[in-house]
Amino acid sequence: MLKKLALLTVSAILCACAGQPQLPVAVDTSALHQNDKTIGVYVDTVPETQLALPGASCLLCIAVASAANSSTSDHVKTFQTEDISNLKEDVQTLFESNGKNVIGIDSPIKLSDLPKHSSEDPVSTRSDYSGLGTELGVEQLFVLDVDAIGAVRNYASYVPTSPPMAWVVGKIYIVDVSTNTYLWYEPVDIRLGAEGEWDEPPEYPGLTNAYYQVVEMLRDRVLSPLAGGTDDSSLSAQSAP
Amino acid sequence: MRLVWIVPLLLIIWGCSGTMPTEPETLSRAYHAPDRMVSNYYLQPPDSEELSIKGQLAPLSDQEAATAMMYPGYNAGGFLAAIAVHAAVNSSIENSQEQSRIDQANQILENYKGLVAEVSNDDLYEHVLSGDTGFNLHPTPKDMMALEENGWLVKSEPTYTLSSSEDAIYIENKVAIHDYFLVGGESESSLVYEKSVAIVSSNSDNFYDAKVWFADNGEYFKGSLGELYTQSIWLAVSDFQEKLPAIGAQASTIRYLENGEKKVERGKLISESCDQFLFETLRGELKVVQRIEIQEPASCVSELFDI
Repeated sequence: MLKKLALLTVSAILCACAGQPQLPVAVDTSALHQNDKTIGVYVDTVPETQLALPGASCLLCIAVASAANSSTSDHVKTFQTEDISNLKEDVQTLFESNGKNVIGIDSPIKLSDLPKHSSEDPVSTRSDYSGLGTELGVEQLFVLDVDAIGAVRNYASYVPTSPPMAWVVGKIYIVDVSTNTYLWYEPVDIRLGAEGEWDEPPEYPGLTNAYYQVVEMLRDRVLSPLAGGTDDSSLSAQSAP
Repeated sequence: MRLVWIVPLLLIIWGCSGTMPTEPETLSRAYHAPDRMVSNYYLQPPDSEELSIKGQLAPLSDQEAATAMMYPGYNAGGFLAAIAVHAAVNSSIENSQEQSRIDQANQILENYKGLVAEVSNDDLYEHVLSGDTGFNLHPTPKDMMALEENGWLVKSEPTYTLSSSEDAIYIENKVAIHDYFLVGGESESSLVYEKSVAIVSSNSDNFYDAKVWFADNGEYFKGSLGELYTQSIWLAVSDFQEKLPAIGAQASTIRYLENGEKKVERGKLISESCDQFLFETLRGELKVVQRIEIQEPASCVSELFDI
């Protein structure tokens, strides 16, 4: 009985400590149309493309899964990410065409090193951007932060439970640095399977196409709402002809 | 002793878990360009007189494309049994789902039954031969021996697809060219060129109305299929003759229109006109697609095909 109580208490503490994910915040178009405010545009360094194997959790499972997918993994590493890095220029152009003052930020920012900020407001940021805003000379800050990109294949210990799927995960947001509130927050987790066969070494045309379709979906997720359109991420998977 | 069990078990799991890699569905084959003064091309009619036309398959949803499965792992026997049962059931479900997708896609052709019945592959074959392709294209002679002296035999397998929004018709034509001169007859070794050519019908004014296919008592529909067939033969022979512009060295993302929506595919750009792109897909197929934004004629080539 005592053991169960202790377990329950530990579980309750762990649950309480676990951070709640930031919920999406719709684009605040009126705030973005305030042309007297300067906006900074920052695309964080895009990580190298890789094949993730979630579910292969034990050491031996990881070794088996890595060996079984070595050829696919090598190919995924050759995928290019320029279309994402180039989004900075596209976003800048979009804001400029709307008459905003824009500053493109090239030097890397350690977003995880920003001071903590706490508030009960659901649109409030969890980091304090005010110092960064002053340093950069901006009142608003656009950020595209890609956490992982490439492909993902689910495993149950030693056994793959899905084919590899093209994958990108991250977040897009705009912060009002003076109030530390989100003017837009969009979590991104896009996965797309290859149309038809995927296991076609060495070039993997199906998986490669799916990857570049996912990159295009991310571009649309960034650009369409800013252009005032709807998100066009419903881009269809490749089909006939 | 325990290791004796674990090692074979791991080997079995590894063996069961992976599928055999599939040879890339390559649609092209290495070939040599014509290296002798033979300029006659003999087009053989498709094997079937009946038109091969289908509806466009709907794209797979994320869930259909890959569904995660967690296997119960209470013990090794149960674990392996779960994998085997899942594999068997999954294969059966996938087959029936695929057939269901095909049936659903073909429903769009219900309204076109009358039109389709009036067109045959022979009609379209005649359409190609009656047009001016810019090279010496002839019907296959009755005396096939004539080919041994002078000519290339062009074989084709055209399949047409009506888009799900009925805004376009696609042709996918597997074109093969045989050299009768080298081997004195048709055989595997006489095959000098093989490529799949896919073309989306041009829609230069971005006008979408399914009624257009029924115009002129179906003549527009028939003419469109004939044009697609002619263009596919022209593209393949031009490629064989190495007369197409050089293929781009780097693959790029090609954005085009399908079903009135943006579609993306990776490939190497070969040529572009005001309303179309010609590119080589990652599978080596030649593909002609519709631009998303039609360019002003002052800044682009108006026609992709020199026919």
